[in-house]
Amino acid sequence: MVDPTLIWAIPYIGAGILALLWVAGYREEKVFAWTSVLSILASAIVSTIVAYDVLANGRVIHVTYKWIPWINVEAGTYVDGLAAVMSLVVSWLSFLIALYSVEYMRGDWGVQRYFFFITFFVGSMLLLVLADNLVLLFIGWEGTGLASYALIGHWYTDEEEYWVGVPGRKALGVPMYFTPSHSGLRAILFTRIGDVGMIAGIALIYALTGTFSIPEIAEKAPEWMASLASGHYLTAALLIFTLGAMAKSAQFPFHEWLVTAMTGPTPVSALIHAATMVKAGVYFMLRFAPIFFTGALASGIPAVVDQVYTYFEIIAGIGALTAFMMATMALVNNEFKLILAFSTASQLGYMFLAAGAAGVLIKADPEAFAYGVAAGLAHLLSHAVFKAALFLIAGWAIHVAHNRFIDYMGEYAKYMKATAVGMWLAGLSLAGIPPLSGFFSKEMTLTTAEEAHLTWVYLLGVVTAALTAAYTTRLILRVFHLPPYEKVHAKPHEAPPLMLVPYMVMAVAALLLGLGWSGVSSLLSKAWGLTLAIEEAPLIKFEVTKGAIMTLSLSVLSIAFVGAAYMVARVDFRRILATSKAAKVIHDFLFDRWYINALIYLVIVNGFAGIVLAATAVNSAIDWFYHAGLVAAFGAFSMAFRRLHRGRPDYYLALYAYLVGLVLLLAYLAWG
Amino acid sequence: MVSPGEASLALIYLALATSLAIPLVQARERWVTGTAARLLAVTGTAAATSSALLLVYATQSGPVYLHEGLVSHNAFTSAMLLLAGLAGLFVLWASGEEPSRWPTHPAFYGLVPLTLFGLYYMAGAADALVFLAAWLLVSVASYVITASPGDKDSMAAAARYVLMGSLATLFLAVWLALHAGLVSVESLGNWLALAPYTASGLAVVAGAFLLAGLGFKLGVVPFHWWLPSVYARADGRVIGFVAAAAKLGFIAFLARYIYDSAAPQLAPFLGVLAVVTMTYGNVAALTSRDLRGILAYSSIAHVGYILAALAALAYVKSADPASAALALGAVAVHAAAYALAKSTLFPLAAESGGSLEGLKGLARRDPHSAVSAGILLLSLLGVPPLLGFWGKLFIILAAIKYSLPLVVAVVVNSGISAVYYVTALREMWSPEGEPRIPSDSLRSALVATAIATVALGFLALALLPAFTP
Repeated sequence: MVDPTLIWAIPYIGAGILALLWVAGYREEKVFAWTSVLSILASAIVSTIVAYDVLANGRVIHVTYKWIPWINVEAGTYVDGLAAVMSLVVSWLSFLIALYSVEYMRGDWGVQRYFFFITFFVGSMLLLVLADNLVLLFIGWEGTGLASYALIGHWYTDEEEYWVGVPGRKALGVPMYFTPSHSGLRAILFTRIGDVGMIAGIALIYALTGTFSIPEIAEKAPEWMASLASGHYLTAALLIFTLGAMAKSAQFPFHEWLVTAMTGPTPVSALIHAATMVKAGVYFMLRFAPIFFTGALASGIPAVVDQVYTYFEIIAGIGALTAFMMATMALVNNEFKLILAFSTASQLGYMFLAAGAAGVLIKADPEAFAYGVAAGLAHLLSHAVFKAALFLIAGWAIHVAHNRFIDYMGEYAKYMKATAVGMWLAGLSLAGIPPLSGFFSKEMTLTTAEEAHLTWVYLLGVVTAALTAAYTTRLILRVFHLPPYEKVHAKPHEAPPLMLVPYMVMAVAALLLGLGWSGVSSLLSKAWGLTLAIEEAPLIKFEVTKGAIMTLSLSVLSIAFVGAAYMVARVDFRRILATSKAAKVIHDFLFDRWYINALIYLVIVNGFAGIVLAATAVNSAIDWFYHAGLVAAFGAFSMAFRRLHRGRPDYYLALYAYLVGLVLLLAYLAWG
Repeated sequence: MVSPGEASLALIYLALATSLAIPLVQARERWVTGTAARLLAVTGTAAATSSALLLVYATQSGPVYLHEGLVSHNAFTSAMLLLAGLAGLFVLWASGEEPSRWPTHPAFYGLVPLTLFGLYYMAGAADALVFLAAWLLVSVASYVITASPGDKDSMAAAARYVLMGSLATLFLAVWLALHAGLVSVESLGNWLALAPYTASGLAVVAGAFLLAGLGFKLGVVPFHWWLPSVYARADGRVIGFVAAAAKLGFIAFLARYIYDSAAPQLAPFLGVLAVVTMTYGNVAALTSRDLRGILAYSSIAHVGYILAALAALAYVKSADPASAALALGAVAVHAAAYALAKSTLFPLAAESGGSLEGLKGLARRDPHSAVSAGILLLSLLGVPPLLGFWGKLFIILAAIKYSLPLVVAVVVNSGISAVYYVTALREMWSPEGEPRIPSDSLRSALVATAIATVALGFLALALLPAFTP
């Protein structure tokens, strides 16, 4: 039997070796690259063995080591159905992307640092997924955040080619272009806000239960949830606990960091900011939604159920809003990776929607809950695959165009047939077209929202599906089939095998997962049947419903509409923008991301800057008081006191006599 | 069989005898006269110190009454006498042969044991007339001691001291008259006994006059006017004796008087005087660049700290004997730190020329003197584990029974005082400067007092009960 601890320990050991090599002064690029790739591969193989053991033998593996005895923390690895699927997805995708990086990052000046952080990231991500307690989970969580920060700012020398946004563009006076170092800072600050909530939540749960262990917290859920609910704090407490997940998964209003995270190298965008780390928030939801749900039901107290219902309703609402909002932004953007980033946040919104809607079923149909969270995991899985493929393709496209804007790309289908096929496969999966996997997982999500009777959430989800189809089609047509808007000199060519193979594998996987969806369904069903706080394996079977037909027809229509507009009618959207004021206003609103970034800077950043200025003024005043004012005052007193002594006896005698008289008078008045 | 009390009386008369014998020694060779006078002075001072030591031993089991009750000593007063005797020895040690070169020789040598003889009766006075006699003896001796170096500055300082001191003596006489009037009603037999009397307007006025007189001797603001110009102007060797030894007798009398007789109504009055005195002394010392000035103002500040303990003593004494004992012990321990430090720092100021400039770079040229002087300054500042720290700590522990603002004032003032003590330290450790190197006798005296300050710091907790009645 293989110890599942190895799954996250191996990449950490790999990262440790890389760090030691660096410290020892060793810089050979190949060694760094292949140590990273091989350690991730080893981890992937172990996770496959462990996942097979869990899913095939139907048992949950829990291994613990004593770690910090005095606060009862054990270093434990917990592999249930959810963790098994997650570790499979994370480790194999990481392997493929690390492989792609070997070629992509060749000759980069920071390549050793790059591979150290990629390996460290994989270890942290797997630790996060496999941790059996909140302390370990949080360590992994922060490890991924640290790696994300370091990799977003990988090119911290901030050359313009690595920026995000149109240089010089401003919204409400706030610059809308970001350097890598600025973006890294934004990422760590935005997510840190959420993590503060998460720490507060961990502390609160520890205070109530006396344990960090997730299975024990699940066991004690009815009691601690009831004690919070009795004071009407449950919804707020759960939301605060979830803040970290919302920030990590770029849900509104924390989504801004993910957009600018695109300054990192493209494999980083694929791995961390599409396939894995941003899924940590979704994983958190999928891990804890069942605990909250089952705990509320087990408590049997209406107040608990009510407050949990409100919590899930808010989560579903935030998910739907994020999905819709980010899809509208993707419609008008002209940076390849940025479009994909909007799309990622939008799809993450779907996953939150799934988890939220599943929880809302607590009142209508508790039996259907497991199906809902399974929808979230299904979409996570299919999105991870096709979005990673899309990003890797974007990396190649940007590489050959020497430009990140799609205005400088065009007719790539002529030069790179295989890549075009991969792009269509992954893109149609994103657009939700059968028989690709994205279609099934999105349908599961929308079905859950429909069953939860969350009308607005459901409608937003459907509209977003149509918008997704539209922006995906626009992106593929402009890059692969239409001539470029701007003059380009570089002649594109097909990617080298080490880059082509990883994304083609994923694109084909998106298709194969869809074709074999019944197999995927039974696997997911099995996995959920083995997941903490889930009592019964959900029945996952695709059914053709009115809703599915409606969503699909809307998506197909929007693809047709966009296709017709670009390819048949040859509509020049740039001329419309130049002539119509209304179109320009709408375009700018969407292009400048609903002005949310500008508002955050104007209100929050400037607000804090104002507080800092005020505090600096107060500080200077205090400083002056101690180092100048007080000194001068005491100096003056001191001189004055000593000037009283003029050395003349007659004067002293008079003073002495007068003051004795004064003292006598005072004494007599006071006590006489 | 002679009792320890009687033995101490015999020894103090031996001190008197040596002091009276000193002027009689007149040899042809000047150095013979000087050495003989010095030896006799040391003998007399040692006799006085031994007498105090015997008293400390005798009073551990209770007060000792002498001269049919006109004089009574307890553990506290005898401890103060012991400290005064030790301070006298240290001053003699530190000043070396220098006093034998003064034109008034051998006045200084003779007057040191004589003053200690006077202090024996002042600290123990149980009768107003005994106190008056001791007061006059000690005062006049102090005036002459101040003038004894014979240079212009010392003469001028002594002249001020005499003028102002006469006024203080006048106030004391007024107190005596009022006291006589107040007690005669109650006790006819021993009509000037220092017994408590009922508080009345007249009693308050009498108390105020006593304080005006004693406050003068101690340098309590606002009766302190003479002190900076006398301490900072006269020769440091004589001031070392006046400030470190003679002053202890007055402190002892005031403390014992408060302990025995004063009304609790006096506490706020003493408290206010304490705060004003310590603040005035510390703030005035802040900008001084003159070591004698710094030491003079710091003497005022230290009397302020002692007054804080006395205010607490006045407040708690009837209600809480344990706290009263603590307050007296605090005064004794603090006075010990004060006397040890001042008995050699004032002579150092005399030898270095008074200004801080004269100390600049001392650590480089004479590390023993610099380290010892540094320890004494830090003890005055109240840095643990030195004796001065314990004195301040006990004062704070005593004062907290009475008033929190008073404690805050003590702590804040200690903080302020750090500025000028550290300034003096910094000058000694300056990489530049050509300091005047202290004489061998001063250096050894500095080292001895520093060692005593460190050692007693470790023994302070044991010292406290021994110094407490």
